[in-house]
Amino acid sequence: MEMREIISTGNDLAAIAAVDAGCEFFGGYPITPSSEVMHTISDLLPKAGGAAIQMEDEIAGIAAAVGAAMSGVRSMTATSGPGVSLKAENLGLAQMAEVPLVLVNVMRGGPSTGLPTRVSQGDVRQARNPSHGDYRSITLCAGNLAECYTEVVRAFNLADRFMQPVIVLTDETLGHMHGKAMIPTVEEVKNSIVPRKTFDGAPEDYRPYGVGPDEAAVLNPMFKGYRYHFTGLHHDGKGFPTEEIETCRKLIQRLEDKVMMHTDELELNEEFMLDDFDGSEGEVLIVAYGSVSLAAKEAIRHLRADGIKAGLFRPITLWPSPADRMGELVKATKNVLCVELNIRQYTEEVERVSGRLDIEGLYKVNGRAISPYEIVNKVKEVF
Amino acid sequence: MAITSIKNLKEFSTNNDRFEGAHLLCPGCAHSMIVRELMNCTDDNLVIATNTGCLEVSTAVYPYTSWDTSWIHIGFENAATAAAGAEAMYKARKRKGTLKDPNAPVKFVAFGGDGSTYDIGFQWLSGAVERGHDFTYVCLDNENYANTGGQRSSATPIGSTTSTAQAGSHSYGKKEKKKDMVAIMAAHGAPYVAQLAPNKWKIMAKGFQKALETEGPCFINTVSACTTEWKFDPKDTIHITDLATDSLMFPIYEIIDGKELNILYRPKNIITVEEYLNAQGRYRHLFKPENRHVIEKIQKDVDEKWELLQRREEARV
Repeated sequence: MEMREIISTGNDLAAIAAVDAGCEFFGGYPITPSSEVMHTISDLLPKAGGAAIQMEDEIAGIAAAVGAAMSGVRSMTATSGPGVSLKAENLGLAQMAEVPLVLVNVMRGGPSTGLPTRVSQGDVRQARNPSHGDYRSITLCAGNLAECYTEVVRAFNLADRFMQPVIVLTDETLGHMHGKAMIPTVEEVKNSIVPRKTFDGAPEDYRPYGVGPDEAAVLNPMFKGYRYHFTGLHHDGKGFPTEEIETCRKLIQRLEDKVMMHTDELELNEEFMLDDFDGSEGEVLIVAYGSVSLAAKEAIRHLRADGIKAGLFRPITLWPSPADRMGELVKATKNVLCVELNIRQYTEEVERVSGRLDIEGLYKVNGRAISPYEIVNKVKEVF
Repeated sequence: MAITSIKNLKEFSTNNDRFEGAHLLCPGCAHSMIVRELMNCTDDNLVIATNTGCLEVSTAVYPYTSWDTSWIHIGFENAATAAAGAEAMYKARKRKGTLKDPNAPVKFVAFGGDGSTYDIGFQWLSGAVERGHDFTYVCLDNENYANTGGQRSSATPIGSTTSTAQAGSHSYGKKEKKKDMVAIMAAHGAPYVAQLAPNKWKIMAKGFQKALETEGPCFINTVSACTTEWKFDPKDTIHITDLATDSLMFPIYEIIDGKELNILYRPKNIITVEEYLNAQGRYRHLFKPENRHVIEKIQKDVDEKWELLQRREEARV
């Protein structure tokens, strides 16, 4: 892949990625630490022929983005935890009506107003189920500056593939981190775009939600002669509300299956220094994601220098979790340490997929980043 | 009880200090002047709710606080609602006879910036005013989201550059006019609505006293010059506010019961808006030849508004 070098911040990279990936609409509202995404995109999008609107609140921000996405264009909003709480209702609507959308959440300390300019990973559990009801959230988590770009691009493609909102988690550390990143060229990104499916048959045969049991809806762009109905109610193949027993069951089952039967298309992990793992005593597997993984990698280098065989498993797609691979690794390694800037939010998933309850954890919720030495000391202390 | 003698500023500004000075607001920020004036113009117990914004983040950095009163902060948008809830419960407990001192005078006050008043907190404020809670809502209007990096708000005037409505080769900044919040609140039928400014501190103190003494929901829009985002020297806060009121960008007036309009300050020498705009960095680009038409438009709008206010004052409707 052809790459280019860029010096930027995580927030700016997310905005640049959106424009490169063909995003045409941004609806947002100022919130620390994600505001720079809106600043940058409000400069870039109009130049690229799109529109960026600052709305009157968080709810209006995502509602406008959902509306734009319904019309057929790629659409995005960016916010932080308190904003996601407000946007939850519209995320649910987008899940139910199968509207593709990208939401960038630059995480800060919570709950409520929390720690506005401090780092946290406290929204990981929220990202799994931001709104009520049965659906499967797709959540990606950038672990370095370059991924603030690449994961946003991937999110747009996944949103159009699965026809639902995709959440990209970054955090205050990455959002405000300023540095060099190697990212794909605009050309490469343009070539990687997979637009959403459309229906080309006769308009009277068009049934946007009348698809196979594990398929995503096929929503044609508006104003092309294909008529259908959007609703947050249970609906039939045409999109009209119904309470018919089988139709309702099939709809919700399909929302589940369209994601869970195709997790192979979603899974993306990084395995760092795990090549020489063979199940022997003394091996230490660290599970971490997001900006924490940067500290974990540094810690692993120090541990290796001290003769401790350590390695990192980093899920990049957090939800749905990489259950098989993560479970396999965790089961095969005796000493497992989860490092998170929250209290056990992803550890519980690691426990679930591995069936193990003896996993050690290092959790920090004071708004400060974890340093490599804290991880080194923790490993030496518990194993 | 209102403090009746407002004689000299030094006496007034130190008489009843319930807003401590060691806060983190920018040097030259007008927020603290406005808040201190409100708290000094009454002896009554105050229950104050504050929206998220510069005022809240700068005056309550745990474990410190600037507030020698009951003080509530909930979220970005809901000071009006918090004050409404506190006021409703106060009334209920008074009725039930469970208050320790039912005759102690209590006033409910809410503070919000223009972002939380004009935008995200708009429906919450509207609801509280419509329900008729006995409280005073004070908007500290600095015409932008100063707390999150100077984005546009619906209080930002046309032509101002902000981080999300940037002036440049293709744009002269914000293209939309400022929302007329005072008229909107007057249209709710609120018993007392006013626009006040800290440079005319006696008028402002009287306005605050009137609002606090009036039963029912009162709304006051105050001009709070923002040294950081308006881009002027911190020592010039009052000077800039003078220019704002004398150019009639911020006319000072009150509306009683949604009908009776009184102009509270008539500048002896009305200056041009150009003089006001020229004093601030956020309008600098308007002085390029291609943007001159925006200044003319602003002047025209200001003239029309002043004409309207005068006619309404005369007509008493």
